Amino acid sequence: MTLKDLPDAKESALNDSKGTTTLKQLKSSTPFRRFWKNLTRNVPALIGLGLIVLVISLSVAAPILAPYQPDVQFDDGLSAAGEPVAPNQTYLLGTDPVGRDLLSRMLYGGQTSLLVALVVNVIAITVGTIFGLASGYFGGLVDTVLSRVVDTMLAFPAVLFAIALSSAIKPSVGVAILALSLISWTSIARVVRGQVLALKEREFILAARSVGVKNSRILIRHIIPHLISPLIVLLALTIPTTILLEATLSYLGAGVPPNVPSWGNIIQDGTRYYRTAPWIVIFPGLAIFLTVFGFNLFGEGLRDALDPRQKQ
Amino acid sequence: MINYGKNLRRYFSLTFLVVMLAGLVLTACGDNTATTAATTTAAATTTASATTAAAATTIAAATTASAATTTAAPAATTAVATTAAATATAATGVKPVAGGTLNVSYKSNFDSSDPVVGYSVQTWNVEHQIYIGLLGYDKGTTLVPELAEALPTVSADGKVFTFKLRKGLKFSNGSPLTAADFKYSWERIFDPAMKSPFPAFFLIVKGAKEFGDSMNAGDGKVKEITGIKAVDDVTLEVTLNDADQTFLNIITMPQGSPVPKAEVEKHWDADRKNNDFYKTAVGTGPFMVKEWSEGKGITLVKNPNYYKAAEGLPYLDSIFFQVGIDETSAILKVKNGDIDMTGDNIPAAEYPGLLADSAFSKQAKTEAVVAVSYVFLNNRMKPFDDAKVRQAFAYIFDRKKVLKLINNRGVETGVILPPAMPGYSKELASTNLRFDKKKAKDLLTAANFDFGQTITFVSDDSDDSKKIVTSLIADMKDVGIKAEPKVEQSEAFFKDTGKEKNIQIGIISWYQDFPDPSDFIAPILSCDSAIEGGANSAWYCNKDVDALELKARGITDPKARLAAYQEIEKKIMDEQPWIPLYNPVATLFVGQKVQNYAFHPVWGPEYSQLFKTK
Repeated sequence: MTLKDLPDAKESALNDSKGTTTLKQLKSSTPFRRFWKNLTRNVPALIGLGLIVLVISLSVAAPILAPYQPDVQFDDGLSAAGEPVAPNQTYLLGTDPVGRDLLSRMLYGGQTSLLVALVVNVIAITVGTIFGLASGYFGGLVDTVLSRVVDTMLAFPAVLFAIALSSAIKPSVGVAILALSLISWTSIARVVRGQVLALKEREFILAARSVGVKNSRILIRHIIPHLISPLIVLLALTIPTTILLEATLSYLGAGVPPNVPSWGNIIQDGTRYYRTAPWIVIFPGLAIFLTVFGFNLFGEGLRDALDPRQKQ
Repeated sequence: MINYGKNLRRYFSLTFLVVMLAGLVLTACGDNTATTAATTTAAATTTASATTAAAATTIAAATTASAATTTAAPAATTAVATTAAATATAATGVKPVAGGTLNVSYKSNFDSSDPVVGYSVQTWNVEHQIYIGLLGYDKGTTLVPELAEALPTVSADGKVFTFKLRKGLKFSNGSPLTAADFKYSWERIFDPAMKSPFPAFFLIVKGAKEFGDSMNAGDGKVKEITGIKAVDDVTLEVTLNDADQTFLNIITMPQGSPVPKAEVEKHWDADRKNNDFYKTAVGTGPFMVKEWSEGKGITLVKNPNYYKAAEGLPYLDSIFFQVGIDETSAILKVKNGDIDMTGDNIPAAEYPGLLADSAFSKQAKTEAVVAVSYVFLNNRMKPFDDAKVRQAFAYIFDRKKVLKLINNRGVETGVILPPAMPGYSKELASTNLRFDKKKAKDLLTAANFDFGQTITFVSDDSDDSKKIVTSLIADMKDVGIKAEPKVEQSEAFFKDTGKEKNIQIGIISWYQDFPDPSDFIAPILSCDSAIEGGANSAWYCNKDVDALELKARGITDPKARLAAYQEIEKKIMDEQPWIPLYNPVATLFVGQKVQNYAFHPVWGPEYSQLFKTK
């Protein structure tokens, strides 16, 4: 292997040989700078970020943007024969089967879908990290017990479990969040455990241990900071999964209660009409698709940008 | 190198996004193209279907005529049907095609089709194919003898009815049917283990109350209903407590049909709590049960011992009532010929489209039913235990909006009795069509209604019900009442309405059991029906109303009788246990192969008369 094949090495070798590394160059190689540079050069990631920002701001601004209240039925929202009205000037995205404005419902529905996804992931990350840290760091019996718990949860058919839960308790947004959190934390626990297992054998941890640093301090000061970047990436990738899962559950009638607009619920309302009034399923479907796609693109970009092995 | 690979993946995913988007847009547009194509095909087939339809009418007319006279065997008519067009020109009457399986779709499971248990519209219709009784109806609602030789002789005081059975009657398993089987079958209604909703109907028979009480107590003191006497094998004598006009109607219902004791007793479980006789039921109807499977449906086959078997009835070899097909797929399946007709109503999403499509509009049958759809307010649960709250609620709901959601398939109403039911009062109906949200709010405030509470509004899981509840909840919200919907599977929903303090408010429909106004009071608004497993979903009980109703039943002068029922109706509506919304119609989608289709106002589709072309 020659130096020619390794442009980075060659460049640094050149710098070294000239001995002219400037302060500016040093600055540009701080981890955040490097991350930011990698990210902003990644066009798909930026598109993803753009989509996410767009969807979130549209949803947050729903009360301002929505032309109507989401649960008001309009007399002209249904044709004389009782059919939903196709997109027109009054109802930009048409109306749903009971004569409500689809655009307004979608904007408010975005609030529900995104809020549920966010809360679920915060809960899942917290729980998953605690489990993963404990089982990875302490090992032994703790690991065995916790890992089996995770395995058991993973072996459960997730959707079925959520349906069982929401039929046992009266469906509400809270129950939907609970159900989704219960099935989401396990994969996070696994990832964290794996990371911790690798980390705890690294020299700096061993060094810290050998000078008698307490476990709690090692965990907080040395291990958790190293978990942040994989967790951010993971979050960007699990949020879309949760959005899809929430839509699935709501579609099956086991998620958010039917009177609360969410993208899944709107699709559920419209399924019977997919042939006669396709806009009711197409638009929320598109919203889910774009949001999930945005998160996935951005998550991928984040992963690449946070990868320390990748330098430009 | 590595970077290049990663970029490639990114660009690939971007390209994928573009392709997906384009795909979606194309699907949206493509839908239009598809519709156009469909319309063109429709136009092409219109001529053909028109002739078929014409042929169908001819067939129907011809066979109905022969069936009515009952002497001319349908087999005697000539002409072989190869094509519809040929039939229409060549034949005056068409030989019904014997054989074949009719596939009928339903979304929900059947409840028990035991004649003394099943009471939902869906099960009722199937029960009528398996069990028939002494009397039935003609094409309308005039009583005609079925297992009885003729209409019964009635004693001068109107209390004693004597029935003569036809000779040589047999159950579907071949065992002979005698008058004693009726006595057994009617006494069976009072067996507490059956949890039958029907005892209330039979309490008018002499000795029935004593027998029922003794059965419930389990003391075995009363061994029989003294009012039912099997004089000999073919003579049955029934004595009532008072003269009652409804008795003959009551025994047309499936629970008035005979079942063989030997067969029923075989099907008890070990501790005599459950009886699964219905899964292999033996009866007297045109069909008998071949397979009864939860989650799959019911398969009926021709009963060789049906008393009209000699006339070639029923024409079909078997019927498969298939469950688990949602209303929308059912329509597609009928169009494709996978199933022959829908058991459920055409869903609102499909109805306007079907009517507008000339290829199918004739197959969408709109049938008058005698029924009322209403909001029930549980009189024993807060906040509806207060009559003032109930009266205020009567002003909340927008019936026109509800009807529009179901393509205006129905007529708005504010009263219990449907327009086609004797005793219907147009005047009462119009004064009870209340809708004034402001007034509702004032009345609620006056009644100290707690606007902080959240009311749970329950319905079954049909599409129409869900939409209607959405609309009703929106109306409640306008008045400042918080409510949330709860959707239950229809079987579970019907069970829950029969539990005393379970559902606060919900929507449900009542279809006539027989053409007499008592059927809209006794089984759903009397104290006797406010029992676990009963159909009094509002849990309404007013002893005065009960007493008036009992009196009205015995009145022989039709005018005075109907006046009495109007008074009862007014009295009930003043207390507003319900808020009647509309009188529905049935809309079924019937495949092209189905001939001689007819819909009975009590029984629904008349399967024994149907036949299927190849």
